[in-house]
Amino acid sequence: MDSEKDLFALMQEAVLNLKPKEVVVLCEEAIKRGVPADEALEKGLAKGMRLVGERFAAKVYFVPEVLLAAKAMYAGFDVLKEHLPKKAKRRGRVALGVVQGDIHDIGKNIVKVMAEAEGFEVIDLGRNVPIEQFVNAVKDGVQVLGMSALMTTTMGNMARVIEALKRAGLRERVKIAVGGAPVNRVFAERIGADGYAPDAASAVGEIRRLIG
Amino acid sequence: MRFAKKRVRQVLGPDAERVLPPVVFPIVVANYAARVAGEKLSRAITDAEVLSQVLYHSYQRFGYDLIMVFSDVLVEAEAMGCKVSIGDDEPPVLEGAAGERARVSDPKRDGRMPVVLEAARRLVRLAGDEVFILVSLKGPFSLASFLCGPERFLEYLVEEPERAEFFLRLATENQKRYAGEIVRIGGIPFIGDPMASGSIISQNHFCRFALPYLKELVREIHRFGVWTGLHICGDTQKTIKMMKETQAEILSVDEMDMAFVRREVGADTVIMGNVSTQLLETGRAEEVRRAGEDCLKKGLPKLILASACDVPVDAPVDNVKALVNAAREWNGT
Repeated sequence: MDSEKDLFALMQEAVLNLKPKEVVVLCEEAIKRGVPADEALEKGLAKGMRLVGERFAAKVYFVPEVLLAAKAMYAGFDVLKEHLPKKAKRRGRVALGVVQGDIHDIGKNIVKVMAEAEGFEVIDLGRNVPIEQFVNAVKDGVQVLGMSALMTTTMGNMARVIEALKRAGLRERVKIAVGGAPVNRVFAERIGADGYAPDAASAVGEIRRLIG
Repeated sequence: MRFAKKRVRQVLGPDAERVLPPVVFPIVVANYAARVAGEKLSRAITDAEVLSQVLYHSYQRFGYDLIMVFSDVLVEAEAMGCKVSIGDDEPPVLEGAAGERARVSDPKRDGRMPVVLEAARRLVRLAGDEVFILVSLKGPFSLASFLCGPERFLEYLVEEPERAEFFLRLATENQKRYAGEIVRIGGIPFIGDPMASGSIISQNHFCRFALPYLKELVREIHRFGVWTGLHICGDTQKTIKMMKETQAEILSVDEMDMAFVRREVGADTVIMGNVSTQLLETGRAEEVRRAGEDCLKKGLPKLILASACDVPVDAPVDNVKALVNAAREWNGT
């Protein structure tokens, strides 16, 4: 470990290899050497998570690997967090939730991890989220509202959330992105969403695009 | 169809070429059947009489060749100790995984298993002479994942494989017993393993954590003296050959090119599938019919024309009819 650069490469590798303990050791080492925590987060952990995303998109990694990489990343994040500059610049605020009736939240959780790694502040509304809770999140101020559904039986609730936002006069305040296995671009356009991502790996790019 | 049973038997046997018109089954389960019959889903999945009636209603109305008794994916998990909440008109939701409290259930007593079995028994009595009554049986991988909570279970695969295997064995034991009960009442256990999807786990994980338990379950079903089927959702391009290794007589596949599926499994295997559920929900009837014909062209003769997964609750009735008609009006060109 000669330079910071090597340290970052090792952090990326440890995330990519799903090794939380190694990630923790490397983050502690970084702090000991006086490496700025935000830099370690960005160039080490988040970069590692992006590489995980690439492998996921290429179908080299699947859901278990992504979940464990996220665990490794968070283990490191716990070490770094108290050393982060107090007012870390955030890229934007995003609320994510799985619509009512649907309990499949693995995809949503992956999007959350990726978005946080990219520096977005994520409000996690959870799964089986009632319409009013989405509306309240928009009231509280987020730039992007992301909804997902994994069942054809529940995807209709996305349209209901958008309707409810219109009725509350809040629709123009927020960009809406939708995703999940049964959702496609045609459906997204039909219900009046602003964005759509076919999978968790591409969702963060879509969020970035919507915030502009 | 009066001769549905005979026709399905023929597709499974050496005379598949002679089955005309081709066998067809849009995968209509409780939620769609309840909607079409104007019944609330919560009633259909908690009351055997309602469940059997709505399924029978759809079978008669559309005139397809199989009946599948499928209430929801959580029936077995609930009976084994998971906490499940049932909404008014939405599929049940897993509220709390059973974890260490999970135990092999008694299909005659626990959760809603008796509801499903009683509905199947009624359907066997009502229509068992002319049509096979399939009863959905969760694959061990999916059931184990519900028992632990899906995310935790997927983490176990990498971090604590022996723990994953403990739940897989428990789930397999449960399903062997349940399958026995299904056969005893005259039903055909039909395995569905949505979590073992190629969109969720790798080929290696499928090989280690899904395949052996599926094989064991299929062996047991064969020991009971009946055939079976296996449905896995999502992209199974890399695992379709392993699905065949399970020895299940019917392989039901989600949206993939039928010609590819046929090449992978060979000419002798019965494929069930695979008209897009999205198309069934949002497409026009004419498009559904063309998609059905495309499947027939690529998949016959060892084919049961079906939807890629269960028919979405909002699919127009005309689209389901169009899928059935694609088979009924098939003239082989």
